[in-house]
Amino acid sequence: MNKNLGLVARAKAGDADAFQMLIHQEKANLYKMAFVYTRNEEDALEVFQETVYKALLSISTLKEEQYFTTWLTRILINSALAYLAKKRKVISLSKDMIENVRDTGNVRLEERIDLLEAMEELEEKYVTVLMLRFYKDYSVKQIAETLDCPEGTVKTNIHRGLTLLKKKLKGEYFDERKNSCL
Amino acid sequence: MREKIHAYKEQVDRIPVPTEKLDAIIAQTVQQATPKRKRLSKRKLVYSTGAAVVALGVLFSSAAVSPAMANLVSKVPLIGSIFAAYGDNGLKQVSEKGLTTVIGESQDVGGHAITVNEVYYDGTRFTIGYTLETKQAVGEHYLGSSPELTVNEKAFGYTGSSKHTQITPTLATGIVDIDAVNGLPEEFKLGLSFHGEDGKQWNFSLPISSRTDTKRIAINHQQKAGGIDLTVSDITMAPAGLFVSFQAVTEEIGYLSSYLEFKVVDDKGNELGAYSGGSQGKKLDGKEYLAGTRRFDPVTADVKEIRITPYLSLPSQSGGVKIDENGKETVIQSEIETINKHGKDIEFKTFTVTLKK
Repeated sequence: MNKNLGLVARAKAGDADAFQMLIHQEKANLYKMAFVYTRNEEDALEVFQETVYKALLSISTLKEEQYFTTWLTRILINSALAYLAKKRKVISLSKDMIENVRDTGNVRLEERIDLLEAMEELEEKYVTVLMLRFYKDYSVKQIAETLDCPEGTVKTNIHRGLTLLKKKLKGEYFDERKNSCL
Repeated sequence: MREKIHAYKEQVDRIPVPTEKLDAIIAQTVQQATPKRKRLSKRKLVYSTGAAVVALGVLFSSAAVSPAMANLVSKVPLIGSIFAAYGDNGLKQVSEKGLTTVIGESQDVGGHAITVNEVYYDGTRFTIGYTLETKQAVGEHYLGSSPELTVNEKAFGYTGSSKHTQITPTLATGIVDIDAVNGLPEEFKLGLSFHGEDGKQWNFSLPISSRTDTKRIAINHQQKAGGIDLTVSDITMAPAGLFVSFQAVTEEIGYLSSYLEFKVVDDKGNELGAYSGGSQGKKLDGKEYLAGTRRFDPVTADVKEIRITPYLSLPSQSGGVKIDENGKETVIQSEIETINKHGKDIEFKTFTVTLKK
């Protein structure tokens, strides 16, 4: 028996308290990512619940404790994509979201909504890589590990996703500088 | 575009989070799904060779070829001990010493049989071992939620964990460990209801009495390290394990004290095997109050004292990477890193507990 049990190790061993604490640490991030896909609270909560459930059932199979967050993110993405595939419907920007956006000061409202709407119209594979890259600040390598796909594919999808976004945003905020990661 | 991307991150960050709803989902999901968890490692499965497993294999082979035999088998209590085969060291020991109560009561509902094989209760630990044998494969989540318990015919809400081991597609064993047994009387009538996902229900009524060979030693050891006020209040020695109870108070820093573990070494220099424990925390007036227990292998009868060293078992570093305009990557501070930062230099002192005088 491993004496050096951390919180993840304890959760793996079946400690429900440890598992709950881990999920509490990640819950806001998980919910926000779910919301990026679903665009409404009700569906985001469904995806969140599915993620917690799947994580709980399979945490004993987690091989490397340091990858807990990556592993959990992968479960969330898979849950969200499966949920959307099942649901397949157009979801508009929620009232809450608009109200919340309106409260923010630094960036113009239309800019915020532009971007959210533009992102919403992208294929899910682009939403996923752009969210991981620019919301989670994952490196290309981390995204590749999370999605279990080659780094080249990640780079391509980020590039294509950004190109599509730029087109949708009509070049208004276009910045030609190249980033080596993109 | 870069500004846009920055705005995107900000927008996602500003998505309103329905925290209370999330908390309710977490609590509900964990409570409902915990008993489905399959916790036995392969190592443990390999370890579980012996008469009980051989008997299971033989019985199952017969059942697999003959429906009539399957019905017969379902009425025969499982031979051998689930605790001995699938339990942790404490359960193995009490089973081998004959300290468990062998029940062997079986119920067949529509061809699916549950046998309550064995129960262990000593006032610190309450564990039930059962088998589920079904006519056809039903999947490991067939008994979806944890069994409902009544104590002296009153509903008994509990938290706990369970090990589910699918031995064959139609035969599984389960061990239910019920936490927080403090509220249980020494003797009681246990009502035990299992529910299948197809609506089948199995009800058992079993007399339970506590073993009286547990020994609780009040310690009330206190020490402070790196902002953690730690009290190890007592240890309890029972045939199925040694329990360390502790309380910790810290500033509000993300339940750092939940990472507390203990190294327990007996007077012969043997380190006791450590198992998962539980802890419950509350936040009050900017402080976090945590109370928990950690379970270890039982000590042998000749051990006179043990040395306990509290330590923090911190999580591995993780978190996102931020890339600035020059392409320089920096790791983003996350809550786990905050925990690591607060906890990395904390060291507790070893203290000794005398078991016998």
